[in-house]
This record gives sequence, structure tokens and C-alpha cells, in this order.
Amino acid sequence: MPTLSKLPGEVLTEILRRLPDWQSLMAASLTCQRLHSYIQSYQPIAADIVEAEVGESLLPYLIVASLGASLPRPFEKAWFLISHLYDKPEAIMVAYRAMSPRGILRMGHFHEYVCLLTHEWASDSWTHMNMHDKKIRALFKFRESRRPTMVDAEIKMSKAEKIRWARAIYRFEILVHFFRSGDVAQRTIAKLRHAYLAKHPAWELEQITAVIDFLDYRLLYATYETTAKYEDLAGKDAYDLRVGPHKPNRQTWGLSFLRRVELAKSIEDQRDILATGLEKGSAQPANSMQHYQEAVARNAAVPPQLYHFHTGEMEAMILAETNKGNVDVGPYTCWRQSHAALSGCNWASTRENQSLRMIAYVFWDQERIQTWDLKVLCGWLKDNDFIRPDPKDSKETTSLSKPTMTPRWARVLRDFRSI
Amino acid sequence: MAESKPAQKIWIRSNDDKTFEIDRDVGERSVLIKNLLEDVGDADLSEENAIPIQNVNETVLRKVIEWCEHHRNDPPASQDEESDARKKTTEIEEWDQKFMQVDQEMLFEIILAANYLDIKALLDVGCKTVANMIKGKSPEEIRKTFNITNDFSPEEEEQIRRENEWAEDR
Repeated sequence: MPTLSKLPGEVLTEILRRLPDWQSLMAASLTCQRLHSYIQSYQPIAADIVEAEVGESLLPYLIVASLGASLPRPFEKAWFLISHLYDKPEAIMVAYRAMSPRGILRMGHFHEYVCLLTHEWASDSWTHMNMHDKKIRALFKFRESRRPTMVDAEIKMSKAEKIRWARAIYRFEILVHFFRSGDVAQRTIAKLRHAYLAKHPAWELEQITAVIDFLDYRLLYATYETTAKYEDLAGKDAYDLRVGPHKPNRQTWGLSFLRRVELAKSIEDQRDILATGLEKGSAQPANSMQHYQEAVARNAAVPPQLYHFHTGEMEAMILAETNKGNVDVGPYTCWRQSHAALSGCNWASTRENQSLRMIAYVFWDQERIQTWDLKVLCGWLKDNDFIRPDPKDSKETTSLSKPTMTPRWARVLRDFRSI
Repeated sequence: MAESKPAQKIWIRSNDDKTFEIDRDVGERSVLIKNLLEDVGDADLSEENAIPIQNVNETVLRKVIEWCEHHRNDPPASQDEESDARKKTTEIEEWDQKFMQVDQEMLFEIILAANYLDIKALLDVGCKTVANMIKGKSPEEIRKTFNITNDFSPEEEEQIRRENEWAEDR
């Protein structure tokens, strides 16, 4: 009687190649020695499945991000990988076809985590819309009676959205691994980092920053109890773990670091992991706040109120004709207009836009705006209502437990909330 | 209007000596049979001279013929479609889904027969069916579904899990 594990190799291969996702392949691999052996010895099984699951738009990013996490540093000589990623992705795919099944399965695992984060980021965006965040509440001046009902809806991301935001996460990961300062010449890395960032249009930089904002928050929440308990991490000052766009060196150490922190079995294990993080360099998205401040200092014509949007601009953001042809542009027009006086991409990644970035998923889609009638939310917007820090914000409650919060950490959290 | 020409008949014989008379275009869904027919030539086709299908018994061959008759008018799959089919693993036509609702032994027999007879579309449907039975299951659930013995030691299992963990850090 034929059984799965006793089928001829050619037939078994045909079955395994048709598995729909990485998780199923991994489970099959752990079933018995024979299946594991076939999956490990015949590379196209893993290669075909991961390729089909990730898709041609994201796979080159996944490959380069994975290489960035595993290749020895420094990376000055690895710039060709970035060049190929943007100009010649087929060359990256040739490298993929030569990778080991084990390496490909690891990439499948990595992609699974990226998908999870993408979904959570979208979900968080709705949560912020649901007025858990005071600044967003102030931003839209919600009234209960006009409150949209969409916030409890199940998150269903379109294929384009999944690609857009997973791609932003991979770009962040590449930024972190290839262009992190700290252990190589600062000037060389800074030069390469700018060259890398310059490969993206402005709104895609803002997408990367939206991801960084989300990951900053996630790291803060993941490490809160440990950092509250251990201000001193193996002789290092835990205050350096402060996150948020107001901090010059943001905690951008990559997804694998974040995952290890989250998976730590005890507060002590987490402390040890965090201590190693403090030895790493950092990778800022665009040094934009510093550039902005310098620009303000140089040019008195740039008024402080530049930060504030106007109602008309917000509406332009939501229904801009120019956005219709390119779903990737999203609401960037409004982001951009508020900083029109700045050159280059210096307007991107500013802390003033953080509240917008936290809900960027919701607004980065014309159809969603129409479906949920989000345009009506902007009817209450007045010039001065936009993203103005509320001095009473310190009273805002948090869902975090507060076992041993020291004054120093109270200040950290207060700083973070008052962005 | 000219009457349509009656379908040419051919005969195939299972490995337990049951002979089936089928239309030639039904038989030619199998690349193996098609090639044999070209080698044999029309003059030698007869019930007594039935093509032996050595690896397939009567019950399984009957099922395979049923599938070939249903799909007799399908256009031959191009190379691109074949590779694309691998990417759409969960998509199986309704009729084929019902056709594959058989016990596991018969399912694997059909797959083996499709492989032997070189019927790519049937092999594809069979493999997709098994792949869908694996989909979403844990290793233990897969073992249970297919009656597989776990021949890993706990240490080996843990090592494989660790090898595929991407969260390494420099």
C-alpha cells in the first residue's frame, strides 16, 4: 500500500513543490527523516515555495535584507548588492537560485515575521484612529456621534498594501544592516546611507519612517519592564534605550534583535540582549530633524508655524487628483506641503509628522477613505489644531503595567508621549 | 452536413488482465500511451493486442480513464501554465475535487498511475490534493493524517528548528 513517506522521490518532490507556504513546508520537514532529507537535498522545493509566497516584488528585498543580516561587516564593498536591488533585481535572483535550502527556509521564516509586523502595524493604525492616542483625537476632533465605525473592522490588507508596507520594513532592515554607524568609518557609511536613501522618492522615505516609528514603539513596549528594573545594563546607561524620533540615535538595530528581545525568557535574559544592543551603532532614516533645525537656523524665512497643516491641505491629501494614479504616493502631498520650504528630503521623517505616520496605513488608500467617509473627519480641522503637543498629555494613561517605574523612566515615557 | 467521424477505439489492459476499450483521444491524455500508439501503428490496434499498463490495476485504471474522459477536450498545458500551476496550489476545479474524494490508498495509487502514464494534469491535481491535506497542519498532525512514524530524536527535531531560525544577530 503506497503511503506519503514511501512514495518515489520524483512524486514526493512534485507534492512538496506544491505546498502553499513556508509554514507547511517547515512542518513537512519536521515530520520524518525522509521528507526532511528531500527538502534539504532538492533546493527548488524550498526555492519555489518561498518565491511563490513572497512574490517577485518583495523577494529581492528579502534576499538583500537577509544577506545584510548575515554577511560580515563592514559593507563598503557590498554596495553592488544595493545597486542590483534597485537597478538589476534579476541578478539578485540568480544568487537566490544558488542559495542552500536551509538559507531559503530561514528567509521564509524571516518573511513570516515581516508579514506579521505588517499586519500589526496596520492594526495599530486603526487602534490609533480609535482615539487611544490623544494627539490623534485632537487632530481630528472626533465626536462620539460622528465617530467612524470602521475601527473595529477586521484588518484586510490588499496585495498592494502588503507589498508597500512589507517593502518598507525590508528597506528599513537594509538601512539598519548595511548603513549602521558605529563600527566603521562614519563618513563612508554616512555617504553610502545618503546614496541609499536617495534611491527612494520622498513618500517612500516617509513609509520607511512610519515603519521605524512603529518599531520604536514596539521596542519600547517590549523592553519597558526590563529597562524600568535595570537602569544599568551591564555597566551601560539604559537611558540610551530611549526611543522616538526626538532621539538623535534611534534604536534601529534590526528585526532579529527586536525578535530576540521579545522572545527572551526572562527579564534578566532580556537585559543581557539589550546590553549588546547598546554596543551597536544606529541608523537614522534621514537625519531630517537635524537638517531641519539647521535649515531653520540658516533661514529665518522658514516660519515655525510651518509645522501646521491647513484644512485645505488635509483635504488635498485625501482626495488629491495626483494621488489617484499612484497608490504609493498616498497622503504624502500633505506631508510635503507642510514643509514645502525645505529642500530635498529634509522634510521627511520629522517628529511633527509622527502622529500622521501612526495612522498612515488608514489614510494611504483612496478607496478606504471613500468607504469609511474619512474625509468628513477633516471637516473640524482648523489651522492650529494640527499636531500641537498637549501639555496635559502627561496625564494620559497607558496600558503598560508599572511595576517599578523610576523617575528617570517616568521622564522617558513622558518625553515619548509628548512628541 | 457531413456526419462526424466515429471516434477511433483503442484497447488498454491493466496489470490484473482487465481490458478497457476507450476512445483514442481519451487514451492520448497519457503521453506514455500516445507514444506507444505512434510506435505500434494503427494496423496493429486490436482488443487482442491491447496495450499493457503494467503498473496499474483495474480499479485504479478505471478511475484514471474516468478522469481522462472528463478532461478529453482540455487544451494541452503549456510550459508556462505548468510552472504557474505550482504557484496556485489551493486551486482545484470542483469536479476534480470531487473526483479526488477517495481513500488515501486510492489517492496515492492515482498519483502513481498518473506519474507512470505521464498524465501531467492528473498528477498536478493529485499532488495539489495531497499538498492541501498538509497545508496548515503541525508536524504531528501530518504524521497522524498520513500514518507516518516520527523517526527523529527530540534533539534532532530541536536542531532542525534551530537551523531554520533566522533571528541570528551580529
